[in-house]
Amino acid sequence: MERISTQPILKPRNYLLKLMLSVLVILFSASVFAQSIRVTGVVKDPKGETLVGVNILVKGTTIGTGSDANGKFSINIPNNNAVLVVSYIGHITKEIPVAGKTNFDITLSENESNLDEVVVTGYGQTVKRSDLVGSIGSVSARQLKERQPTSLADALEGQIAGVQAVTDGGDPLSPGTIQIRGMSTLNSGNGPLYVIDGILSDDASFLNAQDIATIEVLKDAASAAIYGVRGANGVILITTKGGQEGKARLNVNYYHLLGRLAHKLQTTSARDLTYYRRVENGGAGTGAAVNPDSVSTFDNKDNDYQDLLFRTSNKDNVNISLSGGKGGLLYYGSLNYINDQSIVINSYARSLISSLNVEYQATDKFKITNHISFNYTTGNAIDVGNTANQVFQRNPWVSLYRPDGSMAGYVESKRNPVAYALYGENVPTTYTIQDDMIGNYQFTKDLRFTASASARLDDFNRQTFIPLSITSGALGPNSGTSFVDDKLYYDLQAFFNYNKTFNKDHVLSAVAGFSRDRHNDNGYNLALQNYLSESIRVSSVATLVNTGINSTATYSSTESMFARAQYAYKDKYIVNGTFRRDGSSRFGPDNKWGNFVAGGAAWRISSEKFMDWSKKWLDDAKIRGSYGELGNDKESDFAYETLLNFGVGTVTTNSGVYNGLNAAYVSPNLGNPTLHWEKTAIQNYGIDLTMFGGRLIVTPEFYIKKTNGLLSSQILPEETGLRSGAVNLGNISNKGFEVTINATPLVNKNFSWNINGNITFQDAGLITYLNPTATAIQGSYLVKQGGHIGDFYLLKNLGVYRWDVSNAYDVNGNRLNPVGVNAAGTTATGYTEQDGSTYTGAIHQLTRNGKILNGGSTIWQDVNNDGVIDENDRQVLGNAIPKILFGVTNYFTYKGFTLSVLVNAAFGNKVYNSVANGVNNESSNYTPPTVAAIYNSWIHPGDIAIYPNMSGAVKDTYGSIATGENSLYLENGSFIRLASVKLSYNFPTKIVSKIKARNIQAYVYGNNLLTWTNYDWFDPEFTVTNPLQQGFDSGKYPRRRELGLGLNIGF
Amino acid sequence: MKMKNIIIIATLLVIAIGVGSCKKDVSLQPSSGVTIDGYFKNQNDITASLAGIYSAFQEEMEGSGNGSDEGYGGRYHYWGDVRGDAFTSSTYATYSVIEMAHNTLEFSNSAADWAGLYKTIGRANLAIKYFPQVPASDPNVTPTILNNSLAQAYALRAESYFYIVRVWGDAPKWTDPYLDITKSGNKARTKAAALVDSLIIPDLTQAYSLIQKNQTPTVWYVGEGAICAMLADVYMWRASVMGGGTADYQNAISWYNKLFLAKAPTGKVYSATQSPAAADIETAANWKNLFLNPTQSVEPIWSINWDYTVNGCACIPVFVGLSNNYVQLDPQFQATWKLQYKTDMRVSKSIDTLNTLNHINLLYKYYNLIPNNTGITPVASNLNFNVYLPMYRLGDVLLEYAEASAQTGDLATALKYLNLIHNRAYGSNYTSAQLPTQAAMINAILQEDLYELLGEGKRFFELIRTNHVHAIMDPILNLRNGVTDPITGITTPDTKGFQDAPNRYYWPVSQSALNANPLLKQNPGY
Repeated sequence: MERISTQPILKPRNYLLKLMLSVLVILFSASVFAQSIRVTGVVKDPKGETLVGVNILVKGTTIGTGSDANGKFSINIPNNNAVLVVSYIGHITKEIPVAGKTNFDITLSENESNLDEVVVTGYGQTVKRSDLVGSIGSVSARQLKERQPTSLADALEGQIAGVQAVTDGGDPLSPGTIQIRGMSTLNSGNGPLYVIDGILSDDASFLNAQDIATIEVLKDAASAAIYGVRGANGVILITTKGGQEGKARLNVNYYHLLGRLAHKLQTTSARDLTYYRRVENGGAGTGAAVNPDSVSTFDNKDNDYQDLLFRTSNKDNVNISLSGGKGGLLYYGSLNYINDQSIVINSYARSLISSLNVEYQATDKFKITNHISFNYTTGNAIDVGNTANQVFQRNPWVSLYRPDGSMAGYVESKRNPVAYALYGENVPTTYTIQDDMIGNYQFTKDLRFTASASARLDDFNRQTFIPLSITSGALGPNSGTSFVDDKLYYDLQAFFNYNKTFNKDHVLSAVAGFSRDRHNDNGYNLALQNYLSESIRVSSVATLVNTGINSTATYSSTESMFARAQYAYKDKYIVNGTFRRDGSSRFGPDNKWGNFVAGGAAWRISSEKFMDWSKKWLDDAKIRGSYGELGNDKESDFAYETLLNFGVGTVTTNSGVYNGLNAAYVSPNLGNPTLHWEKTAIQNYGIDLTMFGGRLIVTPEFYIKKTNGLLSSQILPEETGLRSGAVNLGNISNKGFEVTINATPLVNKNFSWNINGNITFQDAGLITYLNPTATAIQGSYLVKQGGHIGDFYLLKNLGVYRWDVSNAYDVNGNRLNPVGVNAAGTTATGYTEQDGSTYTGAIHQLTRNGKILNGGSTIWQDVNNDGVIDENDRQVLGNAIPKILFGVTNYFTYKGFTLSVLVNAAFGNKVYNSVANGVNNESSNYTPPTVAAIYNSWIHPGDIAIYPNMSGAVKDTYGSIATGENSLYLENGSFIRLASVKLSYNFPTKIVSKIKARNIQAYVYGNNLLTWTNYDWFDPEFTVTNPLQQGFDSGKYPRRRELGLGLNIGF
Repeated sequence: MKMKNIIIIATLLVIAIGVGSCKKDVSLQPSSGVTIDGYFKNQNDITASLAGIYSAFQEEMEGSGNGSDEGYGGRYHYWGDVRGDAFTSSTYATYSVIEMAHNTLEFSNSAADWAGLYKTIGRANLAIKYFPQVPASDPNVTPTILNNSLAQAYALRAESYFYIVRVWGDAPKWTDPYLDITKSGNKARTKAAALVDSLIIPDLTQAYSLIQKNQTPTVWYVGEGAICAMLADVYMWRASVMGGGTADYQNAISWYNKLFLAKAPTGKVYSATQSPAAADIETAANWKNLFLNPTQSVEPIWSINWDYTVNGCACIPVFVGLSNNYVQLDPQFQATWKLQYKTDMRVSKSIDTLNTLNHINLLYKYYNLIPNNTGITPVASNLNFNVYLPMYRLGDVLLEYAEASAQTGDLATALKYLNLIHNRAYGSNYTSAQLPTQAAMINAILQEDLYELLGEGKRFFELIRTNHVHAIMDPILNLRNGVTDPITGITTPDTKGFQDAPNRYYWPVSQSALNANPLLKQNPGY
């Protein structure tokens, strides 16, 4: 009983306590009946070298151990009928009956095929890869070891067909985004569900990338339906490293990364700008000089803000892990420290992640596992809008400094980006603590019960501060905010696993259970100004700003029951089925519960007699198909109910106070009691082909993913007085074809070459049905039935009118060429058609903003041919979602050297360069336009230009810049990237053993080394938060090119 | 069965039930709002939801409080002043503001949106529907409290529709709160005349009959006087724009007379004799109290409250706290009026007469800042000012009364009320010889309006109402819309004046409103 006192008891919530006590009762009751026989052994490879870390498991139980540094193991087995299952990554698993022996000398041969690899399918179930019915992509331990990923997105980038992992290469605080098989939902991003050691989570931010043992990505319904409630965007199962029986092992890994801005852009120099201003003032060479005071030190600089703002980044990563085990107690602990001083000055992230996994085999029947992890992350989130974008927004000739040497704040109405980066603060800090406790009870040989309880607390706070010196005119006030957000999740699960082989040929496995979880979110915000001292940030030093003080609270919960069964006959015919029923607090009383079913079947055609002819080269061929439904409840917590809100705070946040009285008002987001589950139905068909002794594995797959009842918010008619309401908006479909190839073209004693490649062709985000009341135009996009998510809806830019008289069209709307134009471009003697024939009919001219377009105005395509260029002339001119994605990793191994090269690419998508558009739109006496615009804009009548007349007096009077809707700024977003190259060297055993180490690996690597793209701005790949606004580049933290050195030592 | 197994099975059952039961856990109570069924139970609920209606109207008039581009100033000035002769777009203006000053409005214009007025209307509709149920559960809510609250809800609804009618003309008619998303919220536009006849006037007369009479009002709320002023204003509009003619001018005059019997914020009856005299309006010396301390003056009828500590920045388009205002005084207007610096006491109290940077664009009327010959530096980035926008005050009512009198041929009365205002400013009266005709009288009233009500959100509506848009705006627009030659830099004035009247008296229906409601049709001319 003494163990009870050592167990941490979390919050005294009744059922949580109940559950934990129950687990402990099992623990106690089970341990009473322990009994065992001890066997020992050693594991070697065919060359006779001992293998370290081999898994030895008693078949049908959870009793297991690992081989130690000398390949030796010892294990307690329940009885002499036990069978030892000996498995090791990259080797063929062996099953050895104990049959009374107590000492074993085991040789494992290498396996080129991955068919026997065990794939985790969730809720305690594992399946041999060869028996998979659904579509599951894996990143193996070996791949992870080769890649040394810095984040989960980094680990997945380019690795699995259909998985689009996007990292924001430069931003030290961005976790990246991961999307599986296109988007199937609109709300709350498109992130998949993460299941980390069995615990469900919406993100994996607290995870140390180096603790990841394996990653499985569940892509189809048959695989993911067991997670019905939250599985609609796919599920990523992550198993973290655990301890192994034997002596303690210490592993130390250190790497250092240097980075530079990957793609430097041309910025406007003082010379460019002087030219432009003179031209603006009345023609090149003749216009009035700009900054005539040549001795003014303030106005005669030539700052390249890009050079001033960016630096060489330095990133240190230290990871220490300690693992081992004795007497049924296995442990793995790790500590990871990252200090990333990124490429924008004063931008950094620091994090410390620690985790401890403990597994205790209390008896041969009972095992308890506890994972605890702690994460602290802080940094300075450079406000991209105030710095990186302002590289292009401040006149280059303005000094950075005041005469006294201090940094200037605003000059010519523009912030000093360097001062902003240096003195502005935006410091987000997160503390995450997560603990989960899992108890396994092996009821009988075939039946296992698991109960788990997990809790996670995220404590997020953000401090922002703007000192007096960088406010406009340094007049102040200085200001800051302090925001705290606490999120508590907990999750309880209980389930049974059943695995049984009948008559050798019939294999049945099943799982059934319950789960429930809860999510509480409370936030607090303070706004302060007029700090008496700028060195502290507490509220006593400053004045509280009432409008910035608020608190928020919300919560939600779900309850689920689930069951899955798989039956295989002779490994030849395999079927499985899943049922899940979920209840969510996010839906009204009548719609809380959703049922989700899925099923799949596979046929191992290679096991059939009629395929005998192919035996020589075809090891395995399996045809499989699956169909099923998944659910999604990602909607605001109480969206089913119309609520009255109250409010202190700015009226912008829809609060209100009038004459000292707090207001009550109906929420602008109308409740919808009919709101129901969004359901995604996925069909998946695939063939798994393993050939030439596992040297070539090809998996083509085809899927159709249809989401019905998309949860979204619908804009309401403004006359209702409300803004929006939650609705099941419509349906979308994603279709795709994926091929995964794993080939080993060459392998011999010293050299091997392995290719792991995948390609995806997708038709993503087709809107098959849309609620007729949905708003069609959303910013730069058209959302319409029959269209696609991410369709850019813009005015088509056809160039610039050379003369006033160039704005001339015939009756059919064909543009005419003026003939005999005078110098001012205001008269023409005649007109010709495009084919050269003379036109004498009536001349029609286009108008925009009520003005007849003149020389220097953009030529827009008048789609409806009504002579007026307005919103009705917008058209779909491209899509933001790539049509083709691919990733190829080549591994070359020569003796101790391994070289891996990852190339990934995306094709067929467009990106809207909103930064350049914005810079040109905002160009004024205080802001330069882009260099391209300076030298290619219309200045004089007759100019053949790309950019319109942007000189001060007429700039955009004719609507020629059209921010957010100008096809001139829509660019091709395709790219091919040499994403990563890594060369590592494993020191030979002789050297390694001299310093008593187990292994030493040194590596050098480069990330984001080369990118081929036609995209003009920093990088065509970036994360977006609103799935409806993909490919809209409004200024992102630029990507960096990195070079790193690392050392990994194990003892 | 062994004891062990029984224990285990029992334990497992406990766990299974613990995890799998408790269906109530997916039925949670909202944590940041209450349901409508759970509200409207007591007097506090009435007070708070009434504040909600005022708060929505306050935001619409004065801005959303954050000084961001979208909410840079409320609609009060954009609709009422920026399209008129005294203001124009500044060098910092967005395209939306340039369009207003140049009569080139487009449906993408950010001020072309009626969502904020309908937000006020929606809140008023909710109040009108649910307030009457409150007395059943709270005996403290007497019929007087209920009726006064309902009167304000009706009046604010009417005032919002009156803005809609003046700014867009026809508009969808909503008199019930929209609470069921499964029913379409799309409605076609109802004729403006029908809105005035069947909604605005009945709402206001209902409000007048509900409101408790002879009470001293708080200037921040709609009281007896404000309802009368609104009714008169509506009749003035109907008289001229909707062809109501003399009958409606008489209706307006009868409501002015009822207004004079109501009490001012100080407790004084506006004009006990129903014939206002100089003593009934604010003195010349304290004229600025109308804007700075409306609670302390005999003249205000209804002003918008603002408290920057909770409402945020009162960033009206002519705010002194910001250096890059979108709107400035029209240079011609400023040059003309500042010549009267010594004769018109309002000049120095309203505008700056210096043309230095940061001055010409500012209106000082709403601030306790007196420009002098050295000028004053605007308090850049100091957003801590309260701006109290007058919705109605006796001064504008008297000028309107004068207008109604002039329109009905009663030039003597017109002259009397015009002189009340004129004399306060200049210390001298117009003589009847100076204004012998109806046209001369109207012109003089408009001239007085321009100065007296500068930046009070009324100008453009007056120009429409008196049919003076062409006369006053044509020369100004020709200058503003002149074309500058890119080579010579010489500006040639336009010749077309105010184009497409009367279509362009109205604003276009915004793109966002058209997108959200397919039954809406755009106004002609856009």
